Amino acid sequence: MDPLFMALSYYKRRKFEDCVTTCTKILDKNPYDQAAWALKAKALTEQVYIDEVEADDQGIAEMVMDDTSVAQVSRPGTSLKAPTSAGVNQAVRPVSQSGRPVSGFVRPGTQSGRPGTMEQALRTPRTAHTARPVTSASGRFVRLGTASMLSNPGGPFINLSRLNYNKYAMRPNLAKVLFEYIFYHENDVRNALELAALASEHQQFKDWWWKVQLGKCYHRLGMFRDAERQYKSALKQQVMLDTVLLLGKVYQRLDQPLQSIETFKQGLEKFPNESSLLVATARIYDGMNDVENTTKWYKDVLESDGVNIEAIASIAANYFYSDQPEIAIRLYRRLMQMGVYNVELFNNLGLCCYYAQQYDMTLKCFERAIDLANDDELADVWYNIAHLALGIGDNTMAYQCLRLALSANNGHAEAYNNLAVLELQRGDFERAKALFRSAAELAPMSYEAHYNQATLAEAVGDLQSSYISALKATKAFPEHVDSKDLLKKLKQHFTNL
Amino acid sequence: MSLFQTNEWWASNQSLGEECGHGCLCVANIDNSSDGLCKVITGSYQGILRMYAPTSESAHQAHDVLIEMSLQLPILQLAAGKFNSVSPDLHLAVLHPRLLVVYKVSMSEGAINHGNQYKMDKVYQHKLERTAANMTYGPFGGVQNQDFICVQSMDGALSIFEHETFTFTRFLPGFLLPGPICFNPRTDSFLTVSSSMFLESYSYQVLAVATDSSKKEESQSMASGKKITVDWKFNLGEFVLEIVVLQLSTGKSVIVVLGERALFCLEESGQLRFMKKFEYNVSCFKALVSSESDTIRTIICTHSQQLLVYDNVKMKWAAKLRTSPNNLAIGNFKDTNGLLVLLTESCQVSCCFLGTAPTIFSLPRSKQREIDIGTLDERLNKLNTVIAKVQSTQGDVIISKKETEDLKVSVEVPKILDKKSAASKYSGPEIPSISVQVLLKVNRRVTNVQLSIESNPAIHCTLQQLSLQELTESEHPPSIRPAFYLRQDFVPSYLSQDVTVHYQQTTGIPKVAMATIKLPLLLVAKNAAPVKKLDHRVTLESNMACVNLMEIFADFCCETSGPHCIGFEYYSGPKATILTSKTSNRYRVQCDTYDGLWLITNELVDRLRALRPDIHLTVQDQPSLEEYAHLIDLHYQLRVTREEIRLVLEQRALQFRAIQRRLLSRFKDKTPAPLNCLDTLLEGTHTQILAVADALTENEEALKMCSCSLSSATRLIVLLCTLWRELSEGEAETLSAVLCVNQTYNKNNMGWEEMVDIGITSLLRTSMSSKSGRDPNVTSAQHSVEFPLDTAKLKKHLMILMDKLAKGAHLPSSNTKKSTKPKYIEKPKQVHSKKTNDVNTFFDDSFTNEIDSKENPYANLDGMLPPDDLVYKHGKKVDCLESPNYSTIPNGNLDEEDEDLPLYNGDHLQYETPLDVRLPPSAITDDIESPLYYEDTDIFS
Repeated sequence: MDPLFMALSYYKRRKFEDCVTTCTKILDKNPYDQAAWALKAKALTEQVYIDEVEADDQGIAEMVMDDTSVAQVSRPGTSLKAPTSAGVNQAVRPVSQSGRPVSGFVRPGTQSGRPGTMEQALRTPRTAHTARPVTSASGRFVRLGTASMLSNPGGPFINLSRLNYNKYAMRPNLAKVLFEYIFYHENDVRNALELAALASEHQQFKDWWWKVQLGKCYHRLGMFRDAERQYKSALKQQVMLDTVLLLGKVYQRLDQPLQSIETFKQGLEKFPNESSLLVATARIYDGMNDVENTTKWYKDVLESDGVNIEAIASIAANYFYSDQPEIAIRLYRRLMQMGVYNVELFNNLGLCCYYAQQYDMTLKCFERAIDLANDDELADVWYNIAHLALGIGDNTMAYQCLRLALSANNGHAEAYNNLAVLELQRGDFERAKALFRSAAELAPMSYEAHYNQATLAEAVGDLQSSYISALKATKAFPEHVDSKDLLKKLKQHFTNL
Repeated sequence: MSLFQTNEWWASNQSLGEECGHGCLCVANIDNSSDGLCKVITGSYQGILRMYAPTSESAHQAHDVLIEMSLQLPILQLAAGKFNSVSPDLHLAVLHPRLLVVYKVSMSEGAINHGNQYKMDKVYQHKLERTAANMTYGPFGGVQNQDFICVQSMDGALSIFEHETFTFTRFLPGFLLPGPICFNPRTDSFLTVSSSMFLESYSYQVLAVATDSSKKEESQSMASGKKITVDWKFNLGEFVLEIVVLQLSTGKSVIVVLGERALFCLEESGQLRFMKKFEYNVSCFKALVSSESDTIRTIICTHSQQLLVYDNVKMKWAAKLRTSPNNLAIGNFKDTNGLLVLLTESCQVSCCFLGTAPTIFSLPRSKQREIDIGTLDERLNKLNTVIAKVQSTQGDVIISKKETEDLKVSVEVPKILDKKSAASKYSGPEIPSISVQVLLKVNRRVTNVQLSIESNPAIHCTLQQLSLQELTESEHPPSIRPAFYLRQDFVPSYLSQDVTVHYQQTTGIPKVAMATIKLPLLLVAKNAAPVKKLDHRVTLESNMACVNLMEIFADFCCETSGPHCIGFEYYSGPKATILTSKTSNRYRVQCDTYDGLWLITNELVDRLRALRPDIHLTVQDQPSLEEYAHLIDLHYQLRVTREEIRLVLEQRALQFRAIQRRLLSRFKDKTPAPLNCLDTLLEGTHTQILAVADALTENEEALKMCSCSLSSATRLIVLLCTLWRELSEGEAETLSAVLCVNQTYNKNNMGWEEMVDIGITSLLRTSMSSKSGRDPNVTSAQHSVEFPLDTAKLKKHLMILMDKLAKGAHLPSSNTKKSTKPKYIEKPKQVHSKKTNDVNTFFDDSFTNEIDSKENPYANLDGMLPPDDLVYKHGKKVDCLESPNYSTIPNGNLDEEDEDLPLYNGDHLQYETPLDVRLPPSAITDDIESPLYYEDTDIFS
């Protein structure tokens, strides 16, 4: 049996480790075997490959010191930074820590959002386990790079510093493999860019693939306008799905969601019913807090891809928050039938059952959720059980559940807030005040704690603090009527004084 | 993730140790039987060829296997086609690495019902010169009803075999790795994917014509061919697993390409029809043309064990597979048409159909067993009572006692001194040292352990701080043996050392554990011959007969000491003696120096009390303040000297800088001017600065020593007062707090004298003042802490305090509910508010210097600032302080235009800090009721 044939067969069967070992053996015998060399590079790349379209972690540096967006102060509805809250009522749909409505599906970027301040950016997203937020997008890629080094105990397979890129750029069959290896496996964007530029030049700028790769490199380096130019040029030669998606991503980074949607729509004309384009569009609408359009597009996704979990979960979440828990139950049940088995599902099912008045199922679902949960999720589950307890009037149980939630995750702002309300009911004013304060500090974007603090302060006559808190509450939720009333009342007080 | 799963109709046996790859499955009516039923043929890399005729829904049966034979060579690919020139029947082509064989499969009917016999006859074979990668077949060159075979080798040569004859070999340009290859009969061209990720179409005609003049048609013709031009190519941008050509009903054909990350569908001329991006890794696929709508149906198998059916790009069906196959085909079998045939990597074949059988995903059993309501209730009640109890007793559930005991510190002080003194390398005369064992007992894993030993000015410790990353209960605790020895020329004022350990629990809560090391007297003093008469003495009276001194000071006995007298000598010089009276129950302690009395007296009292727990010791006379006053004066004088030297130093430094500046401008000047002896002046000033700095250091050292003595003396005074007036423990504590026994040496400008003065003043004015009103002798308005002009006032106050004590006044006790701390916090406020009333009568100059003393601590010595804006200050301050909400208003809310306030706050803090240190930890927790406290505990829970 020819070893190279076996290596190729291993590669096709995605047995990359075997493929790499076989190739290494061939290369040991004949170090100049280009076919084996290319195959090994391909196998190594494929081991760490992540679709560039999906890899979307934005670090603090990118988000806070963002000078790429076209308009620093954008008109409402045209930016991801200051999305309109139209269609989303905070009183109905809670917000995540960064102040966006809770999405039905966790993706890179849904948790952190676009923070307004550095302080907020530094706060870790709730689901993150490390204490440190993602500082920079390159950080993640560096990690991937070091992880890939591990797979090569004998040192790096290709010594990038010794490569003569000019030589490789002239050989298109090797250059593409080499590029992917440098870009995905080594994460050396600079060298990849050099190779891509040379190769593209060598092909007389006629190969769209090289242009897309150049665009990817520029994107990683934060040169979005250059990336855009490359993608557009590539699209002129050949409309491909990936190019459209990547171009849309560039516009997203430039904070031009409408342009991004326009790109996707053009892509859809060329590739009708393509689910990746539909999902991408839905995600942008989601980022703009446009719940109606999000749901519409996710429904379109389901039309062309009936087993898309992201779409089902998002639609279910929307149904749940628009007071139709029964439909949400059906969707979640569908997910369960499809084999999704995790805490979130059981937790959501439990909540839906509770609101759909199927109390017998509720506790069972939460029981399951607790069984499956780890710490951070556990806090959310207990928090929801506390809701249940409040609903059935068992305040002691609610109190205990909230304490458990806090013991699982001591940064759970909602639990602090509710615990404070319970403490207030018990008459422990000081404690309630302290808890409200922690809640407000932990989640400055949720209005409840601020409003509670304001009412509490007003009740004891501390009008100044009350006013400050009420202002914060209205800032977090401008349409909140109670806060506005309180503010009005306070202003009256002040004028009387 | 799918709702349904495939139904298995038939499956072959598991074959062990076999492996197969892409192309090892062929489904065709290979024996050309009349019923047209398909047979399944599989081959493996181990060279075993099997032929099955799936018949029933029952499990695999023996007679389903038609042929099973070993071909000895690895089987790379199987194909069924019309490979015989003379018959239109289907033949089986088998590709081995170096051999291509075409077999004819035939069946001979059995006699009775025992079944039929199948056999394979080799029709022809070709030896391959190059290692084969894969092959394709078709009617090359437009022949009718015949199939030729094209084999692609691993190095990119296409060899065409027209049945038994070898036709030609051509090399593909730009070849690196063999890609899939496919023949499109409509355009009579080969489709393959190059390593540069292009889909390329080569016309058969072009290949056939592209020869050299030399008409050798051997497969060994190395690189001899002309450059083959490609018909068209399409840039796919990814690597490809399979290519399939489909014939549409309109007569056109389409090319379906299964890439690694997407599915492409192209026109026969190379235009993209559509593409579909995958979210999963695909393993194999089968493309069909839907008969009714001319859409492309693809069935895709993924590595995540899914089978997906697409109609163009719309998903039609998703089903779960039991395995992840690497070959997929469709075949018609007995009674059932269109079954999916799947071949896994381990050569297992199965025939499936899509059904609506749901994926049976049964939830794992939950851990909890159903318990009946009664027991549950009982348990809940029990737990509730526990919770209630905990809440009622401890207040907060989160702080539990257990957590505080993660780490314990204990110390072991050996009875004997070190054999080899740790101090020997520092000093000439032998000063003993003692090595103390500090034990850390860990009950649970703790991290960030920081051990620190409090510094005592008079006693040197070899270890001040120690950091440990973490400690676990299992590992042996580290051996920490700090050694202590006396600093030269010091008489220590106390012999105990606090060991503090900070650590973090695994939950992140920081904790503190403490222990006290009590060093033996032996460390600082040695035995000596008793001396009859010494300058300073203290007499103690007891209610019991005198004990034998040899007995209680056994460690200090020497030949000259007796039961009634024993001598000591401090290593730093002073000598001391204890005498007992033979007739009365009296002890006399005497010493060269007044401060030297303290340690000996204290040791005597301690040892007596330890020996006779019910002993009652008293002092008859009021403690004499004369000797004490002398020490105070000395201390004060040294402080004054320090300030003076500092002032000189400052002036010299100023002068130095001025000379420098002048020199610099001289040097910078374009027209050089004589230096005018400035350099000499600079040098002189420099020497002066050095001399002054040396003097300062010297003075500092003296001050330290004097402070130590003062501390000893103060402690002695407190002890004597305690014995004299029989003060309670709490009162004694208050007294030592007032007299600041620990803060005799301060680096900053707030010294012991001021603090004690303020303490005594307020004590006299508050708790010890008679009801009738203020004592005229006490200046009620002690406004701020500043350098006193002399010590007369302090001495006077001390006298008054002694007088009051003599008259039987009681000190406030720190053991009562009203602890000393709040009092101390309040005190400065009251002082301030009262003082401003008669600010003009008392100390006006020093008071107004309050602000300036911040910047220039010695400004008050000059006493030059006139009082200017007293009224303004007065009014504002009183307002703010008497505001009932003072504690609730945070700093930020105070009027900003009142420029005094920040300063006041600063002073205020200074009051607090020294007092805070000595408070027992319990007092702190009792006092602070701030909401933040609870919040913190919640956070750390």
